Amino acid sequence: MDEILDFLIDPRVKAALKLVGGVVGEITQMSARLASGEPITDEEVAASRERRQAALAGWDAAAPQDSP
Amino acid sequence: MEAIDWVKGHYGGVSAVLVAVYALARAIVLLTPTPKDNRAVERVGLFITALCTFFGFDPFAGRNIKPPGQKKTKKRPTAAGAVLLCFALALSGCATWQAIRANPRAELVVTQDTFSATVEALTTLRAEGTFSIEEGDQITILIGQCGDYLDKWEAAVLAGKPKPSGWGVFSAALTNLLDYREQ
Repeated sequence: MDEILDFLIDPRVKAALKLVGGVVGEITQMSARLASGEPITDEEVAASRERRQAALAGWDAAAPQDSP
Repeated sequence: MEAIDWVKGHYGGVSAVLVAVYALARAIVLLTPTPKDNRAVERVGLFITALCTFFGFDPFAGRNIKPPGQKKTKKRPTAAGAVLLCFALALSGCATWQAIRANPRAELVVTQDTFSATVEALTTLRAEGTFSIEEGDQITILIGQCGDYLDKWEAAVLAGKPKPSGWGVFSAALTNLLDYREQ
């Protein structure tokens, strides 16, 4: 899916779509989980932390490089 | 009349969907160079605002608060402002969000993932050269503030303790990240 998006749309638009879609999707999914009574496990909490740390690593990696 | 009664009974959800759709459209047009589509979406925004107001819900409550006479700032075309609309405003009043907030683990996971998605979007813009060095540094500070609080929050949730103090600082930092704009 990402490869198709890369061809079809601007990367900035892709970022916007991913962000809005991700937030809405996450909330929808979590809402369904809560409605079904399924508990949120420690592993899922840890997984969300790992996604956060990966996002932070990406931000740092995108820092502009100092010119020599 | 039956349809109107239904809409009035579900105005929160209807408004959330309308604002989310508007936010998505706005995110796209702000990221494209043509001003024509920007104007078209702004008109749609006015329509949605009027519609939501009619049903007793202000979809942009708390936004654009500026003291009288303050100089208008130029808005930076990022996805962040759109997500602020989508996440902080549209969802703040709907039943789904209330249910998530009632479950500490669910609220933490959703907030962490929203933060991660925000950072990823900002990372894309940073890689594109959208931000100056100073702006990048400011965003890095905000990201650090949010990360510190999320670490404390996660430890509290796993220990069965209530949300730690500092929520206000975290919310302000996340809001600034979501709505990052040129000063």
